[in-house]
Amino acid sequence: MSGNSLDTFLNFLRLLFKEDSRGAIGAETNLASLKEWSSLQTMIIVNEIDKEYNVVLDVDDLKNASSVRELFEIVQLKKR
Amino acid sequence: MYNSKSDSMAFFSIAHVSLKGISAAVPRQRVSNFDLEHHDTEELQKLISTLGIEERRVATPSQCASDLCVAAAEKLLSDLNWDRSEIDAVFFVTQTPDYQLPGTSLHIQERLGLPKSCATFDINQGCAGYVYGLSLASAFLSSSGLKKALLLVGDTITKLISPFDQSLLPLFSDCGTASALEFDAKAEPLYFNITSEGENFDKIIVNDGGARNGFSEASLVYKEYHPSVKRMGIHLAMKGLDVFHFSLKKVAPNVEELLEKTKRERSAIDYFVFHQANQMILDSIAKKLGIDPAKVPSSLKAFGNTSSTTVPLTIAARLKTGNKVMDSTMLLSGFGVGLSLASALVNFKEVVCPDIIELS
Repeated sequence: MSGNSLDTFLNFLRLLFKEDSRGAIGAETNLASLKEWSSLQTMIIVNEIDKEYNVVLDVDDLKNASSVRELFEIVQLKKR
Repeated sequence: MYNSKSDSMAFFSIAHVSLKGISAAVPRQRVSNFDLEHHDTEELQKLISTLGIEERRVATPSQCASDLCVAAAEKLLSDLNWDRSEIDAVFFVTQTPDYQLPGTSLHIQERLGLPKSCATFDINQGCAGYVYGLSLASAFLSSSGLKKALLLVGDTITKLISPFDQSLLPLFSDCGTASALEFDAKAEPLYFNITSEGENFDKIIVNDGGARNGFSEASLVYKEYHPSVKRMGIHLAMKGLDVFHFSLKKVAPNVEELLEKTKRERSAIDYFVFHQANQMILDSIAKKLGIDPAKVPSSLKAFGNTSSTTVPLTIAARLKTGNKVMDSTMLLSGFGVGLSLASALVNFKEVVCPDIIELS
């Protein structure tokens, strides 16, 4: 199980991207702005967050999150 | 018969009907996902491994779902040695009928040489269509006292996909199936849990060509929705992420309810045959349910997502020995367009299953 920290979440997310783009992902990164962002990549992320945090994000959650930090907060909120 | 309804589920059982045979027919034409145009080979590889789909079967312009179903039914009738004059009803489940009207099941009755006393039904259901159709056909036999019915389930969804929609092209494939049902006083009951979410009717939709948005010149204009998605009004549109969310959220609880209501432990189920949406969804549902992935057969690699037919096609492709389905207890579950979700608990005993037919 991952811890609850933003750092753990960041490391978890980075591993879902290609090695050379991981460095570019920080707390303030807007995931949708990444070159690797695609509908497939979105589904992979939703699936992995579900497996790790037991939270199934919906389309609005992803639209509302403008940064990794916000996405992390949504996941924390939904976990409760 | 027994039923129990709540807001979220409709559980019921149907007695005295047994499944006697299942057959499937696919177009001979194969299309490899490795040949898809893609800007990045590494991305394409990731797409193929996530979806689990390497090859798809694509109908020729003149091949219809009904043609595949008729081929599957002909083979099944001959292997079962059934007398056509004894068939009381045909149920045809499809989203790709031959014509807007009349119902395709009528022409199928004539093509299969079935008697005029045979009742015919067309049912518009997709991914959950096999389980829906099974519930209707078996309820019809159980309550009427009639003897034999054919459940034909088929789709040629590839005909609805835009050639410029890279999000849907890798998924869909074509197939037609036939299942034979018979009244049998000694049969074990069939159990169902069926739900509908009509508020999500537009998550998977063909907008134009029905009575709501009649076909017009505007139906043939390509619009760009994304750099890799261009389609016309007559093409299939899918809000993939919403459907994915529905699959992750709703399928496992529906299956759990059916197991609870039927007082079955997971270990009592030999196989869980799910709609073959994609491999990532299959793996996630298996994990949520805490079931061994070996009990969740997949036919995705060679046959892709064939809409309404995935459940019987997977049984024919993966769960047969010789010309029979392995004797087993199966939980069947379909989910998707509608949105709808339907699961069934079915005991397979001596169910005839010919090899999958390839139709030129």
